[in-house]
Amino acid sequence: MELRIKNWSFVETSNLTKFNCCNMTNTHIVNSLDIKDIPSLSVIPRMKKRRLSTFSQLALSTALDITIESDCVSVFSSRHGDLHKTNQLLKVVAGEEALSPTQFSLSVHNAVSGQFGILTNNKAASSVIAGGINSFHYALIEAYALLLENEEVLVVHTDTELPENYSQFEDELQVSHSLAILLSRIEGVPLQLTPIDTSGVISDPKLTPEKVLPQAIQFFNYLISDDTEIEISNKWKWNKTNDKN
Amino acid sequence: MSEIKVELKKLIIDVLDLEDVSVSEIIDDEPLFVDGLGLDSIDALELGLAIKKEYGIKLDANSEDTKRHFASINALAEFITSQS
Repeated sequence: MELRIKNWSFVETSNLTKFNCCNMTNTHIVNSLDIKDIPSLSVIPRMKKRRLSTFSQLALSTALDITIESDCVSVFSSRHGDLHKTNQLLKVVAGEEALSPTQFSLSVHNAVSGQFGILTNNKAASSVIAGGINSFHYALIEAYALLLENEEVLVVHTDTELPENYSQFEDELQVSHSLAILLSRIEGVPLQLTPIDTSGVISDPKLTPEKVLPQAIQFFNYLISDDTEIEISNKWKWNKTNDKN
Repeated sequence: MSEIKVELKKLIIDVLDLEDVSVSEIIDDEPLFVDGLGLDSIDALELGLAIKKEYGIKLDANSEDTKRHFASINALAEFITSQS
């Protein structure tokens, strides 16, 4: 399938102390202990910003960095969602204490999508995907389907480092990140995505594969590189197609 | 009475994440919700929970009286003093 990228915005951070932010025209490193200092978040009113978790702020920092039409449909995706918040809520439940209404109301997987809609006054349809390690690519397939009926689709993938008590489940390198991509039916850099058929492949369960970067970061590094093709997790093949024909 | 007002203001700032609001900015007789401080319905639930935890007073979420008690710092302080 061919996907055209009209615009993108990316942020990654380790330990939430330094934010490497870039978009199609700019790169800036935000050295700060506070995620609130990311410039694209400055448009959020103070009374709204106070409730946004680190996860929400990461997602919104890239989503709000891209100019879209007010009726642009969107796909938000995340493998783990706002697991730090879920984790906190579960601890409260385990301690048989009352849950915070604010935290609870923003704990669903589509909370960021809703906040984005409110902040940008966007009433268009929005889908939210959680598809395991392949979440980012499944979001793109969802977007590809939406492009049949819409000229543009905004895709926002976000994940944060796992909370410490989930560390035994780590099967990727832990980097908090968010990538927003504006896909267009007509404009932008064309890329070819091909799912690789792995149905006949039997992997050796005794072999622990080496941990690699999350798929969205692997894709982003490929996007800004001169490489013409990449295979991600032996499952997704990307090609930069020649648009000159 | 003024002690409990300061206590309530600190509680509001703390539980509602109003980190850039100071105690002196919350005016005793100004509305807490919509106008004035600009809190909303989720804040009302959060504040109700905090008051239950802090003072052991349970507020009925659907009662008209609760609305009156939450009108301002003055009203809230008076209500809490009357309950303890």
